[in-house]
Amino acid sequence: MAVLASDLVGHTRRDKSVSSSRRATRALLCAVALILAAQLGFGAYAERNPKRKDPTYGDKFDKLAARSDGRPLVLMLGSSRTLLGFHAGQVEGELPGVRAFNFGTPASGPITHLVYLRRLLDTGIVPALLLIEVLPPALADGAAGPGEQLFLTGERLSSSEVDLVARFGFREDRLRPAWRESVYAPASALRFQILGRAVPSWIPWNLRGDWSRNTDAHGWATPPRQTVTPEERRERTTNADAEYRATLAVTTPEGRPMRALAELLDLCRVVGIHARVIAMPEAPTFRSLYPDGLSDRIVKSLESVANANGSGFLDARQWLAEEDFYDGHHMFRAGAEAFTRRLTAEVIRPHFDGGGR
Amino acid sequence: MLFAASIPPPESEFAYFRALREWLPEPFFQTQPFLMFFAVVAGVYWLTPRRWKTARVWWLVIASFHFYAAWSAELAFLVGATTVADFLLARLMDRTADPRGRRALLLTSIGMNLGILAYFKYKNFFLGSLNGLLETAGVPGSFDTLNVLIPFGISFYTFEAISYAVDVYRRKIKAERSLPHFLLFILFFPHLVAGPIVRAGDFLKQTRRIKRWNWVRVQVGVQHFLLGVFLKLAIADRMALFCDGLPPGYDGPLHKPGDYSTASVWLAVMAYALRIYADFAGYSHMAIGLAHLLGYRLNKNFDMPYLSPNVAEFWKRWHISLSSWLRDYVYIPLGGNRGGGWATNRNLMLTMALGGLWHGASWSYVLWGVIHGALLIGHRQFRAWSETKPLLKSALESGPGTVLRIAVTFAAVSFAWIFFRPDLAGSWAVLERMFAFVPGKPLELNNRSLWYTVLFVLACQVIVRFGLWQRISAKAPPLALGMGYATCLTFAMLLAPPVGKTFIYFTF
Repeated sequence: MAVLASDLVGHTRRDKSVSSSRRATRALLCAVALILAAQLGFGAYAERNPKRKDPTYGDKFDKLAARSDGRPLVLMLGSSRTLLGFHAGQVEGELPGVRAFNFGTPASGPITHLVYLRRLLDTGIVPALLLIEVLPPALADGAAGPGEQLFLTGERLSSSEVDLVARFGFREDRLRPAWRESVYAPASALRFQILGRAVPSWIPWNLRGDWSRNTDAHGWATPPRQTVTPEERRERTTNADAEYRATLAVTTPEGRPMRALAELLDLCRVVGIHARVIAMPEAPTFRSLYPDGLSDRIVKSLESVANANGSGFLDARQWLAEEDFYDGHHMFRAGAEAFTRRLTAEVIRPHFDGGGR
Repeated sequence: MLFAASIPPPESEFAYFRALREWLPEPFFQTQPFLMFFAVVAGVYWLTPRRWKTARVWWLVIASFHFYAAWSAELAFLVGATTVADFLLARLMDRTADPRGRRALLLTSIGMNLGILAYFKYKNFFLGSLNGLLETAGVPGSFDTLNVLIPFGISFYTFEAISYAVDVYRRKIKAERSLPHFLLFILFFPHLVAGPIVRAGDFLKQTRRIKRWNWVRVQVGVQHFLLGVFLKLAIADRMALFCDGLPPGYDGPLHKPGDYSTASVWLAVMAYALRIYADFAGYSHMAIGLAHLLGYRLNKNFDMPYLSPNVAEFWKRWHISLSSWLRDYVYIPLGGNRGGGWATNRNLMLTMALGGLWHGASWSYVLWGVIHGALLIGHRQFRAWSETKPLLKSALESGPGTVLRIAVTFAAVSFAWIFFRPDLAGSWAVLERMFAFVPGKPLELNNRSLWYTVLFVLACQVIVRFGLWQRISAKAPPLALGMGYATCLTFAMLLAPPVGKTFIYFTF
């Protein structure tokens, strides 16, 4: 009897241990399967939806798509200068038959704009008139590659976009791993994109990708304060100096970003979009940061690239005065209104009055 | 940041070690390179036939050496050499019958370990303090401080080596006869850098056992590891944003308290308390999990310390491997509570001050230890006094009374954490701001996310405390458990902030 009992106990223990082991194996396999499914599933979804990977683009795209109503579209691609400078709503006020949208995004240049235009065309958005701002420091192309790559990072791009930007000197050894992580481990690589939309207050403001979310319905933003004290202006101008003087010293208009602009304009020609390249207004203090002759060389090159691709060029560098900017190149509301008024009068209205060209 | 990021030592002269560092640049368990390193180590380990027990142990020793050498080959050789010396001294001690000879060997072993610790970690502290004294006394001249890299984990493996020598001397354990087993006891990479501090008696017997692959053990290991990753990434590094501030300036309330409102500084102190806990408990859980995945068991290092109703209880649940070490090798040898009230209080104070100094070579850590010593003494006196007041005693032991005691203990411990940093002047500035009741900057991240995190951690601890989690996990179907693990990892990845990978205890 005792033997039987001990056998029974041993048997039960063995059974229990086998069942615990089976349970553990299943739990671990479930975990692995769920993690893989969730990560790869979201990674694949994000790969096909650029707005999930790149909320700076995504928020603007959503606002633009929400205003789709059949009117011809005037779209302006550009950097933070455009974001603050092109008052698209004002254009619609002046030309009710036209839909205008500001697609300016901070720290962007011709390579980013090429990526953005391709994305918009993929979704069927074809502007009737495309205004393209070129930020001169974004033309810098040193040994390390274009400066834009510091901002347009691999996780914001799809695989084909990685190939595209790599052609223009973005470092593939940085791009590819970041892109790969965005596909295989999006919970980590795209966490700021996800949290920035789900619980923005949980992450620092500079990681939320809020630039495009905090604009008006036409994609335009203006600083909360519309005046600066002389000290503030001096401080901001000094900051702009520290940020741009060194870059401008090595900027040439012959680098790979300029090739990206040419490709962008060529794409417009192929698709049938009328494009106009714009050198944005700058305050005299900012213009003084350029090494001798560089600003004119850039303008000449832009003009030549634009003409070669059947687009127009507009030199607006001297349109505004010092007090229209808060740091020498980012406009206040008054500056933005003045710039937009003149741009409408000289470029947009003639384009539509002339029957589309 | 409050704690220096791990500074990589100068590159090794040998290409092999330079390549090793490229492969494993940081000794952080939650990073991709480490997980790849671990996968290779565990893969080879488990594929080695079980009967080749010693080969498996050697493999782990080699892996552990490489783990350290990836950071600094020179210091890895130093740690290896002192470990061999400890092994030989203990063997000699075991063979020596003469008590004086044994004592001499013990002192040699302890002297060697403490000497290395003092040279690397405390020399600058003592020289700096001496220079300060000389300056105050108006004596010209000063001693040059030393610019050496502190080997990481030195405080941990030094204590392990000392406790081994003492245990062999006391004949509590026999000296280990196998060199690879002893090397593994000290160098085992999951506990090498920041503990838990293991005892020879617990660990060495495990090295002798044949390890069999066991899914339940793997599950336990994965569970610990995931919990650790979550605590580190989702809680500790997130809380660091509230105390350190945001990069690149890191001018948070604990750095520049003068810029912030009093309320913000109080919140930052609370965040700091949570950060220290989640950081170290997270590391310990990861270490325990990794050890389980290799078939080893490391002792629990934390047992929900912030739910302790008094400071004495707190020290039974906080950094358990250190507090029990201090109890066994400092407090009890000093006389423990055997010499009456005054002697007990003195022993408590000495032990805690030494514990403070163990954490860092700075007067602020000593002060932190002294504050805890004072809290322990205060609690001892209060408990003795309340024993004579049955009404008060029963009120304190009731439900609301216990909640009150937990809250007071948490507040006292959090207050002491203000001094748990290398910069004493900074600690005073924080303290000053806390009681200045002035307006100032708010926290840079929304307070709500701090409160949600605090409530989440509290809720989890209460669930575990009342045994609810144990009941759920014992009965939950595998799919639910798998979902739990997947969710834990996903949230850890999602909530990880952009910076803040250094473990606080790596700097000790």
